[in-house]
Amino acid sequence: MTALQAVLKGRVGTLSIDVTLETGGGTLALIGPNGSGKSTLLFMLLGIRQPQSGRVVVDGSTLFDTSTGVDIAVEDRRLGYVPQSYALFPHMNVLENVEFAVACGTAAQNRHIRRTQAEAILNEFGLTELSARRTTDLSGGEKQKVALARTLAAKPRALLLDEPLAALDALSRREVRSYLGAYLKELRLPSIVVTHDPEDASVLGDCIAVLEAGRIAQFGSWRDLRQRPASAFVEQFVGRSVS
Amino acid sequence: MERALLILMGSALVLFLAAPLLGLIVATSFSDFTAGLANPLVWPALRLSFLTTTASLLFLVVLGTPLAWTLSRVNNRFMSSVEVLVRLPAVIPPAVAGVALLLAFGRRGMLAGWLYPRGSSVAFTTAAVVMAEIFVSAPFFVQAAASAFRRLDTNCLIVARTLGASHFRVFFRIALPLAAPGILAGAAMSWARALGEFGATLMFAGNFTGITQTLPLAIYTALESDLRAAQALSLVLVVVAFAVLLFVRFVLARTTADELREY
Repeated sequence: MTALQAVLKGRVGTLSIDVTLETGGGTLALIGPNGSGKSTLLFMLLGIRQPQSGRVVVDGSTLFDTSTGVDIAVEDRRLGYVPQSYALFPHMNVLENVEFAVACGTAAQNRHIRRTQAEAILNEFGLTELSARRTTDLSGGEKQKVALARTLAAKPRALLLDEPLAALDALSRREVRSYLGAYLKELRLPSIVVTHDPEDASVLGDCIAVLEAGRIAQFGSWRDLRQRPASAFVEQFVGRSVS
Repeated sequence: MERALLILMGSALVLFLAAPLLGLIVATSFSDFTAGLANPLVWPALRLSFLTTTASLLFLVVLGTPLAWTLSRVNNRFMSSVEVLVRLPAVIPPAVAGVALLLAFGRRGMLAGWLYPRGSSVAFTTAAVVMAEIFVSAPFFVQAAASAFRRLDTNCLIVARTLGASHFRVFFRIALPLAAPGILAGAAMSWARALGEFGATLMFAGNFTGITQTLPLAIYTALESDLRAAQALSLVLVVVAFAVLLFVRFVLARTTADELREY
């Protein structure tokens, strides 16, 4: 079964991180307050930050392992990453953004084939009409779709989304959330969604890990967390959600 | 009342800055200008300045851009000292720079044994002019390019790498195009500095017509024989400098507008 497993230990500033993660084949929602180490964890998985020790295995292949000295470079890990700001390349239009990812994913190829592939991906996402648009002219929801399309164009082994809904206004947030939830389920790619919002986590995550000061306070389904919170922290954090 | 005083003080400085420029323009009639340009010093100097500043700029862009990129990406004590070193020529007096260049690259300089086993040297050649220009203008370019790279959205660079882009691809396809306006502005400023370079050139390259006599040196020389030529060349340089400033403002205004569009 495809899954992402990670054991990570490290220090960032005053925060010490000690975490074991396992996505299964679906989506793991990683929730926790600001400063609990969520984004740092993503950076460690991506290879941008160096953990002191640990292991990252995706789909059976080891990306990082301090015990054997394996440390695959960021560009060779094939972990799709969508930051909160989406980070679309502002000097390229929508199609060129996706084309950039296609070109990275596969080596020698002629330009025409790359363009056709990029167009096919945009079509799949229903974004064909946006292909010539500047990324700075898109709405939040559109930006997110383009960012997802671009990420998947590079054929990642797993997907890491950092606060995918935080940049959206309340109105489009609900709509994008249900779209994203359905999409992630359909995708069947091991995914981690980082969020500070328990409600987002309940919709997007097949299972949920609550992060408290660099450690997993509880891991389980939304129902588990609601009905049997492991600590007062989890109860308080999860209980904030109304739904 | 207090406000008027502050405005008055500011105006005094503005007047002081404007007076020499005004003097230059008022004192130079059109016939003076054309007569000045006809001086035999003028065209070799114009040609030489154009050639040497182009060469020094090319050199700076090719080597300075990667340096600026590294300075912007690597954050440690060593890189901070490199940055200080690169800034230094901007505050060193040009005459000192000239002496230093002689002591390093001159015929009896530190590197002479290694550079010139046959005895000749680069000092007092056109190449020396280019070297002096690079030395004094490098800080302007590297500084501007480094801050342009620092202003980039780190997330774009990270995402590009997670998509599978190599360091080279991230640099050429993402960082360079996004930082281009800032780099261009830095190139213009450093070019203007190289064009005006006088002290280091005089010390290290000398003042030989057609070989090392650039525009500022020609002005200096003309001042002794034909004031009109000095005036004409000065006017040319003022116009060029003004054009460079306008260009920089235009380029940077466009980027700021573009960055604002993001929000």
